[in-house]
Amino acid sequence: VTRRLVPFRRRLVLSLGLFVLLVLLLTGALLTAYRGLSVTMLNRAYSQTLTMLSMTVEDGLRSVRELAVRIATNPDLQERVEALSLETDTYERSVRSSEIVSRMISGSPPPYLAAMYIVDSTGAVTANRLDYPELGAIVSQTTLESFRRSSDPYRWVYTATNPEVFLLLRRMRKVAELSLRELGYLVLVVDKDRFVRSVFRRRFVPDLDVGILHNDRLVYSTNTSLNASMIAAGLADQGHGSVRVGPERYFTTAIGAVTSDLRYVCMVPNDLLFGPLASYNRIALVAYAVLLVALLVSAGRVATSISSPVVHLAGEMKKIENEDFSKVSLHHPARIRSQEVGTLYREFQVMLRRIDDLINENYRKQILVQDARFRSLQAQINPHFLYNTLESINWLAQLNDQEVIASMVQALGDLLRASIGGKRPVIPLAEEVELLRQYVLIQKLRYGERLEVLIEIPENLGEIAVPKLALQPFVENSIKYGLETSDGVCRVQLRVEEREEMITISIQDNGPGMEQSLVQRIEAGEIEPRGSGVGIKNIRDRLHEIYGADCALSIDSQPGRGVIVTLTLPGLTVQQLSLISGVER
Amino acid sequence: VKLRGSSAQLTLVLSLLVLSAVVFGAGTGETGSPETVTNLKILWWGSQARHDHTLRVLDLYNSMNPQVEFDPVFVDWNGYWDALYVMAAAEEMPDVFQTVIERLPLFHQKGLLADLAGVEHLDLEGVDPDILDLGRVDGELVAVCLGLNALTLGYNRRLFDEAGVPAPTPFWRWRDLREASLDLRSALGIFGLNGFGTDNDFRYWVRSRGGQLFSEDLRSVGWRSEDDVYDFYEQMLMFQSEGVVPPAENWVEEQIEEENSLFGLQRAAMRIMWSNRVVSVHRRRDLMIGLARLPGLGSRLGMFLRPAMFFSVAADSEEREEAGKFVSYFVLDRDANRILGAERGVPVVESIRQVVTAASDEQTQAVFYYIDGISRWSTPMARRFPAAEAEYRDAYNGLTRDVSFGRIAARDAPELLRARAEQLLAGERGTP
Repeated sequence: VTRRLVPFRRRLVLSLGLFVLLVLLLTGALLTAYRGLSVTMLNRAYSQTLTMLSMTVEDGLRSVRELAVRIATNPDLQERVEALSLETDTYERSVRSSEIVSRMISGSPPPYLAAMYIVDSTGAVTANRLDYPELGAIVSQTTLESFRRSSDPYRWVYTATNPEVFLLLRRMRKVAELSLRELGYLVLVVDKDRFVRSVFRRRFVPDLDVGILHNDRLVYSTNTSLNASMIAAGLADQGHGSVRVGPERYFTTAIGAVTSDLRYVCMVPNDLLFGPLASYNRIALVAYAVLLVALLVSAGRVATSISSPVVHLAGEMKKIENEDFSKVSLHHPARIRSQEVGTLYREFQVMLRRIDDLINENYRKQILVQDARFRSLQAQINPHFLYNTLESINWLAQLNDQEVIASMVQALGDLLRASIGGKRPVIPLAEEVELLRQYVLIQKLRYGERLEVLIEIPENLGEIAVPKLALQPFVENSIKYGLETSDGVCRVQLRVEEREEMITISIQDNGPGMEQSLVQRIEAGEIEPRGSGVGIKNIRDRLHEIYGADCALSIDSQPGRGVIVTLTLPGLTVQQLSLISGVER
Repeated sequence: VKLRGSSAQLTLVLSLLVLSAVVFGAGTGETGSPETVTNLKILWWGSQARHDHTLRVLDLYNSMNPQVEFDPVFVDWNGYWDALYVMAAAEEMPDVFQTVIERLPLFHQKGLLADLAGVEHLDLEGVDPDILDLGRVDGELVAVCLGLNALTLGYNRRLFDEAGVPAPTPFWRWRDLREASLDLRSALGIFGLNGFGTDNDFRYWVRSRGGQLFSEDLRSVGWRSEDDVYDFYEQMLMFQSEGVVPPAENWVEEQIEEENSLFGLQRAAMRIMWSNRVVSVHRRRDLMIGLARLPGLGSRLGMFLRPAMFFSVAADSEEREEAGKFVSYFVLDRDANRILGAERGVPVVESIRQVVTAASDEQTQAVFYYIDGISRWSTPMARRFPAAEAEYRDAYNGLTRDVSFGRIAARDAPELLRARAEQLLAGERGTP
C-alpha cells in the first residue's frame, strides 16, 4: 500500500485545526443544548403557570355556569317566564316582568355579574337592571339568534359588542314533570376585570403577561403591551418557543384549556430571558476564533522551526548520497533555536566526519593490500630464478673443479631456500643448527681465520622445536659488530642446555659489547640494531606467538665484555608443539 | 490526532456531526402531552350504606382503569328525581345514572336514554334474556337491571321475641297483622307497623284483588272495582285509629329511608319495604330482620318480582363507551359484587349470585331465600308504564295524605283517584 505522504507542517496545522474545530463544535453544541434545555425548562415552567392560571379561570367559569343553571332551572322563575310568554295584556306583562326581576336576584349575586337578561320564547327580554344598557347594545342580534337556533344548552360569548364584558347564554327548559320544553334563554353578563379579580383574588402572578384567546381572538390580557396583533403574530408561528413579532423576538408559551376552548398565551421578550446567554455565546465564539487563529499561526511557526532544518539536512544528505562531500555544508544558514535540532546538527557533523574517516582508511588499506600483493608476486619470481642461477653456478664450479665456489654457492642456496621457501614457522633444532652452519660456512669463506664459531649441542636435543631462523640473526649481529669494530678474532659460541624441562639457547660473542641503556632500549624495541632486517622485536614476537608466556629472550652486555643473548624455550618437539597448538587453537 | 488520509478525516467529521446532532437533539425535547382522562359522572340514590359500597367499587374500578375519573353524585330518594330533572333541563345529564322501571318510558320519551345496543364495550354476557328485556322500551335496550327485589313485610325478630308475639307466617291476613301489632303495642309500647298507605302498599293491594294500577292499554286505571280502593283506605284509617301504625301526623314517616324510620329505630316492629333494603337496615342498625310475604288472601296475585333499579347511560353522553364498559363491570364483576352484596337487589347473573351468596351473611342469605320463594309465589308485574307515572304517583300520594288527614272521605277517594289518573293518562296520549 503506497501512502500519500503529507508534509509535516501541513499535517500539524491540519490536525491542530481539526482539533480546535472539534472543540469549537462541541462547545457550540453544548451551548445550543443548554439553550434548548433552558427553553424546554422555561416552556415547562410557563406551561405549568398557565395551566394553574387556566384552571383557576375554568373554576371561575364553572361557577358562572352553575349559577346560570341554578337560575335557569328555578321552577318558580320558570313558571313565571312561561306565564309571561303566554300573556298578551300589557299590564299583566309588566306585572309578570317585575315578578321575574325580583326572582332573578335571589341571594347575593357574585360581584362580577354585571347584568342578567331573560329572553322568553316569544323573544321578549326582561333585564334585572334598568340602569344597564339594553341587551342589544351588549351583544349582536346575530349572536343571540344563532344561539337560539342551535341545540347547544349554553354558549360563551367572549367577544361581545362591549369589550369589557363576556356573556353566558343559557337555554331554559322546563323542569316540571320533566317537560323539557324550551322556555327561552338566560343571558349572564360578566365583567371581565371584576371576574379576573374575583377568581384570582391576590393569587395572580403579576410579572407574567398573559393573554386569553378564544378562536385566536384576544379575549383578555393582563397587560396592555400584549395586544391582539402581537399575539396573533406570535401564534402564527409554532405556538410556543421563540417567535418574531415585529422587530423583537418573544418567548411564547401557549396552552389550551382542559374544559373550554380558550387558549392561554404568555409572551416574554427574548432579550429578557436569553440576553445574557446570547452575549456569553458571542464572547465564547470570538474567543474561540481568536484562539483558533493564534493556535494555527503558532503551530505553523513551530512546524517551520522543526521542518526547515530537517529539510536542509535532508538536502545535505542527498549531496552525501552523491559522494559530494566537498559541497556539504555543516551549518544551517538560519539560527538554530531548538535544542533538539542543534543536537541533530551536531550528531550529523560527527557522523559525517566518521564516515569520511572510514572512507579514507578503507581507501588506504586497499592500496596497501594491492602493494603487498604486488611485492609478494615479485618475491615469488626471484627465489626460483635465484635458486636456478645458484644451481647453475654450482654446476659450473664443479665442472671447473672450483670446490670452494661450489660449496659456497651450495650453502647460499640452502640458506636462501630455508629463509624464503617453506611455510613451517618452527623447525627442529638440528635443522636450525644446520642452517646456521651453512651461514657460518659462507661467512668463514669470507673472513677466514678471523671468525671462530663454536656450536655445542647435545645430541638428544636435536628434535626440539625452535622458530625458523631464530638464531641466525643473533649470530649475524655478533659477526657484524665483532668483525667490523676490531681486527681480532671474533668468537661466537652457541650453547644449548636443558634445564628443568626448559631449553636454554645462549649465543655469546667476544665483541665490543654495549651500554646497559642501549640494551634496555633494544629490549624495549625502541631501536633496531643495524643488520639484515629481521630484528629482535620480530623474533620476540614470533617466540611469544608460538610459546606464549613460557619463553623468554634476554640480552646481557657490558661495554668491552661482549654480548650474551639467551633464549629460553619449553623443551618441546615440533610434533608436540603442533599437538599443543592444535589443541589450543 | 493521527490522520490516515482523507477517509479518517471524513470519519472524524461525520462522528462530529453525529455527536452534535445528538447534543442538539437532546435540547429540543417536547413537554409531554397531557394524559387523556375520561370523566364519568355517575348519579344514584340510596342510603349511606349504598353510597359507601358504590364509592368503594368506583375506587376499585379506578385502580384498574386509571384513565377514568369519576364524578359521583349521590342523593337520597326524595331529592333524586328533582336533581335528575334539573340536570335534564340543563342538558347536563350524568353519563351513568340509576333509574327505575316505572320511569323508563318517560325518560325514553324525552330522548334522555342511550340505546345500549349500539354502545361498544357493553358486554352483558350471562344476563338472563328475560331480565335483560326488563330494560327495553319500545324494543330499545335503554337500561340494565342491577338486581331483583320484591316487597316484603320485614319484621324485627328481636322485638317479636321480646314481646312473645308469634312472628308473621306466609298465611297471615291483614287482621293477623293487626292483632300482632296490638299485642306488640301492649307488650312493648311500640307500633306494630311502621306505616301503611304508600303507593307500593296500594299497588300490592290492588293486585292482590286481581287488578292492576293501569289497564293493559294504559288508557284507564286497572283496578277491578272501586270498592277495592275504598277498602284500602278504610284499612289505612283503621290502622291509624287503632294505633297499628303511627297517626296521620307521622305521614312523613313513610317517606323516611328505612334506617332512620321508626322501624330502623326499633319503635315499630314491622315495615312493608323492598327486600333489597333489608340488608342496609340490618347493617346500619344491627337488626335481624325476618322477611315475610305481605298479608292477605290474594298474596300470590299481589306479590311480584321487580327489577330493583337500573343503570342507564345518557343519550348525550360523550363517554358512552367508557360508560358501557363501567356498567358491564358493575353488573358482571365478581369483586365489585362482593363489595356491593345484594344491596341493589339480588344479582341478575347466576354466577354472580353464587359469588355473592357465598360471601354473604345470614341476613343477605335470608333475602336471597325470600326472593327465591317469591319467584314461585307471585304473578308478573305489569310491563308497561305510562310516561306520567311520576305524576300519577304524586297525585296518589297527595290524595292519600288528604284521606289520612280526613280532608277527603274514603268514600270519595276512589273516584277522585280514578279521575286524576285518567286525566294524566289522557294527557299522555295527547303528547306525541
